[in-house]
Amino acid sequence: MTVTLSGITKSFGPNRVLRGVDLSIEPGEIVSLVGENGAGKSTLTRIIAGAYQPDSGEISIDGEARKFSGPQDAMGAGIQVIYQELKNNLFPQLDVASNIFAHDGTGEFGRLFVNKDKMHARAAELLSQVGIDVDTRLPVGKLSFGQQQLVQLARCLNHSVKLLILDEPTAALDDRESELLFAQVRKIQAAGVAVIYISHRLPEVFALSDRIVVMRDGRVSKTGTAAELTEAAVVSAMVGGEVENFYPKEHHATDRVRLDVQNLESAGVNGVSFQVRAGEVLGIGGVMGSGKGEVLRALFGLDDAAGSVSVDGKPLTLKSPRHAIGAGVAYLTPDRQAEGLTLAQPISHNESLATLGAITRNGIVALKRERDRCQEISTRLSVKCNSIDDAVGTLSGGNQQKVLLARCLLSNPAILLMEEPTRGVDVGAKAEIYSIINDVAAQGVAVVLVSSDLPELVEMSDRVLVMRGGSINAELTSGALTQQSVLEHAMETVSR
Amino acid sequence: MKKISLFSDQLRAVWMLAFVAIALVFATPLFLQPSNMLNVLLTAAVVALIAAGQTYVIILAEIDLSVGAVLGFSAITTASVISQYGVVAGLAAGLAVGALAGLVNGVLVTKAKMPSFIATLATMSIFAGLTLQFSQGNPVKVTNEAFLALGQGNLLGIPTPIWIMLVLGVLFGYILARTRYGRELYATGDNADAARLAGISTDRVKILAFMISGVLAATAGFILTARLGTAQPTAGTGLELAAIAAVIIGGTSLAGGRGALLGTLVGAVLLAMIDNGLNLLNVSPFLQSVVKGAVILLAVFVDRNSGVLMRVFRSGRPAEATPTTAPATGPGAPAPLLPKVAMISVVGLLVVGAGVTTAVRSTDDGSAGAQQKSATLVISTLNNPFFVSVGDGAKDQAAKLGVNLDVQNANNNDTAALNQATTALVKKPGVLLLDPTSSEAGGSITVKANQANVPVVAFDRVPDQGKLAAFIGYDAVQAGKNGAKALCEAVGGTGKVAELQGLLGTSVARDRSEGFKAGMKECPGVQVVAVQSADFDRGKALDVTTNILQANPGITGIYGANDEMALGAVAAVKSRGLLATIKIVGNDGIGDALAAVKSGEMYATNAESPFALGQEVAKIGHAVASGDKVEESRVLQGKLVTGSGVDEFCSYLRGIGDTATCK
Repeated sequence: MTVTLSGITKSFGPNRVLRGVDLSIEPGEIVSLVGENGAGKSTLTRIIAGAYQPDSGEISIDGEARKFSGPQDAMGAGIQVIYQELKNNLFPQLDVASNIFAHDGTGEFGRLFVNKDKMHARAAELLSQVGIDVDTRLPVGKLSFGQQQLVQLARCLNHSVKLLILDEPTAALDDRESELLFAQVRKIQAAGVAVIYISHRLPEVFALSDRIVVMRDGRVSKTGTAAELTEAAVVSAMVGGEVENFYPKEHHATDRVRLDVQNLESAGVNGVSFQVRAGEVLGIGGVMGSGKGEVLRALFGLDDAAGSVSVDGKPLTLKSPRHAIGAGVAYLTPDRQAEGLTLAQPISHNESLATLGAITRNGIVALKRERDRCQEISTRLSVKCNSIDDAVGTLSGGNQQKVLLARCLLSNPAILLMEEPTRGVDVGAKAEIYSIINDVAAQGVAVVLVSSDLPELVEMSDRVLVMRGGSINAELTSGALTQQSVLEHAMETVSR
Repeated sequence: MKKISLFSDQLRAVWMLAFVAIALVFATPLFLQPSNMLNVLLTAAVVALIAAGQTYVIILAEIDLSVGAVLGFSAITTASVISQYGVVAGLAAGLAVGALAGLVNGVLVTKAKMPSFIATLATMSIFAGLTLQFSQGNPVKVTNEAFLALGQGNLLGIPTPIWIMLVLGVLFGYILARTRYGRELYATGDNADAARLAGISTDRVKILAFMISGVLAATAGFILTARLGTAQPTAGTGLELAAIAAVIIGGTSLAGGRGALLGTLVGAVLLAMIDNGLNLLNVSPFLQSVVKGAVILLAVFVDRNSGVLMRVFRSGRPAEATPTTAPATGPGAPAPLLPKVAMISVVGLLVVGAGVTTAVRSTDDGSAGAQQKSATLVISTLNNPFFVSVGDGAKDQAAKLGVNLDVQNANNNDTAALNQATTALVKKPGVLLLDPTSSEAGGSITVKANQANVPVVAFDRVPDQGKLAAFIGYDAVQAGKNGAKALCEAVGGTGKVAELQGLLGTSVARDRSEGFKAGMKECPGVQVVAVQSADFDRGKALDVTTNILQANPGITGIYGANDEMALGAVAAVKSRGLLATIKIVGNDGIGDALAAVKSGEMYATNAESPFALGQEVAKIGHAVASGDKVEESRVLQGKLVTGSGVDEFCSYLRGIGDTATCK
């Protein structure tokens, strides 16, 4: 099936999101769609999937013009989407098999009463096609993110998919899970299915796609085969100029130990010990389930933990975030919407939330001081907003992340724990966040950076600990620190 | 300062209030009278205080259904303590009960991890039950002058409850808007996980909010008790729903994280204003609740669809995609000061304008003569055929006499009765016909009417204070005795019987039960094996009787303190096929019961023709209003009607013009 888009435009109110997009996908072709947040990628895919109607322009399939009245209509034509937000696609309480057949209107397993055995058998068959082996009676919410993506893929297979759209499917996956997914995507491609792949991760894009389409400001700004293009060329087409050094790493490490962790134990962490010095950025890498994120949660008092930890020589009570904050520890959560921000509240309130004590006298918040502090930090981190009174929920992902960082920095932390600081953030904001990390280190803060983004981890850290199965498997510094070596130590002897 | 949109959550309620106020100004000249403005605020105070506490809880995305019960509990506690240890101890005890109840709710929601809807639904039932148990269903009278001043006093011509509402409104509004606790509350309500990661002890925040809710409910209980001069065990029943409505109308989101106290206060005033306006306009009591429901729907509709409405409002301009793209200043952006001015002028107009001109109020009195031919009837309920018939009788007689009769339904609620009477007095009727919901509420109303120089004719239940022009009523104790006598006779002076009591805490239920007990003493062969309340309600009596029959298979007689319950008992007995063996006696003589007596399903009813009572009340009221001399007190006796007497009784009813009872 050949899908051709010509002159697609779409506006939301005064906001022109697509300004005339032409695109064509052949059967068996993988086309990657890249661009900064707000470039129009998601809107474009939603139009193809029938969720939005274009203002003008035409979609044609095999040369014949089509108008989709809704997603059901597009599905009928063989177009399937796996969206970035898992929760938009799966029903976490329902079992795997029910999820796979959730959109199934054929009544294959009985219309009124479901033949469960038959349904589970068929589900298991589809799952084996996508290369995973899980109990089809488990609630989908119990599976890992990677498994959930593959369940979605299995669902698509059941519908004789002809065009598959993957919207940032690896955002929440580690490298091994991503590889599993890519293998399946290639298999589907080989069967003649056209694939549109959206991602912020350029190495993946180059490894996977036949053709790369770069979008900027609602238009296609560059297109070419993976062989013709370079990462630098793609990034410059995304941002509209040359990006000199994407990872502006500075080195500020000193000898003064600020964070000393000995024998840290918690759910998923088995006796981890390390030290972080003033001005140092310590990276922690590892696959999902390696315990890298759990180390930070234990240090911040979020999980029940034991071990002897001290901050600037004073013992840290591993009891609650309140204790950790009081001891000078700040934590940047990987999930800013679920457990970071209070979205309906103003930017200023979000920024000062962890440090209200400093601007409170007799229980009353000093509004003037608060405004000055928040205005200053927002300017310093270049949070783009009309006013710091705007609700945080109205900001873009990158700016939301900066507000959360502002909260961490307002507490003048001795230790800054960051987990996936640039997840779901566009290229421009990424660079800004990296330079904030440099500034923070320059001021003598000890930074711990947990990331599944390998280039980021390798380029921004002074030193990297690689975790596997809850323990530290390797410590890599300067010469030995490469993406390759991190991967090797993270996956070593992993068998499945 | 923050920009405030003309359509922001909080101000929406102000616009609605202004709209209703303007409509009422055009609808009736009585509305804008200063004394009426004060009435609106006075009647809003109790709900406003409960709603203020509820706002804290709802911002947390929780709910507190127990506030009405907490109010009753703390009111009874306060009244009991005051009589023994004085006013300070009483207030302290009441506040402590409120705080403790809140603590229990808070701990259940946080530490026991129960959904607040369920936890407070359960504690509502527990607190209400404990209150009835401690008080044995009896109201507790308060005579302490200092305490009564909380409800009945004045400062600068403005009643104390209004001051309390304003002072606490400002205080708790300030706490929300400006303190660290307020910040933590919004953050916790918006995203509890995020609040915890920011170092906030969310359990502590939640427990404190439930305690504030309890304390403010207790404070509302003080005002209610002081206004009535008595603490009623059921005083707060249903107030939790009014409070939640006020909070939602005021723009606070049930989803949590959004809202403020100003909106809540305006919401409470709006609800009171609607009540007031409907009373002044003499809208049918049944339709009043339809109108109130519609207003709540409208408020929530506007809340949920504000974006759409705004676009319609500014139809000349293109729709805006997201709030972020809206310009900070531009042709459509309102000047930041304007809404504040509007807000202050609306609220200020009500409060200050009313207060300053109270002095002029005395000049209103001269015009009363022209309204001599009008009367207001405040009746305890219209959800019961007995009282419907009283109302019909009164209307029938009023029409014959050429009097314009305005009927208000208090729905068995002291506060509603008090508010309706207060509103009615603004109209200076020639006479106030009063069926008190309780002696104490009746007393407070009578005193108010005395002050306003409106004569009061009370019936059915004696007000405990104030000067009555006349009283007329059936003898409730004697009614119970008659019922006992009939039941004794029906079961042949031997065996086991059951008694269905009326709504606990009401004087009719008490008196009839007392009479029944006295009557049964004279029937030594019969044993009363079960005594249960069915709230004067037919449906409840059906369930209660079914249970009684299960527990006491051998009973041969059932006494219902009213006919509704007796008929519920008939249904239960019938479904067991025991009609032949179990004799049922009721009280009141309503049409259904007379038919049941005639057909033999019931043995007898102590008939107290409500229609005749209504006629009598209207007659006496007319005489009083015309300045004629009347008998100060008349006690009517019921007539025991058994099978053979039904036809005779029905022809009597038709003779006096009651064509509805016997069909």
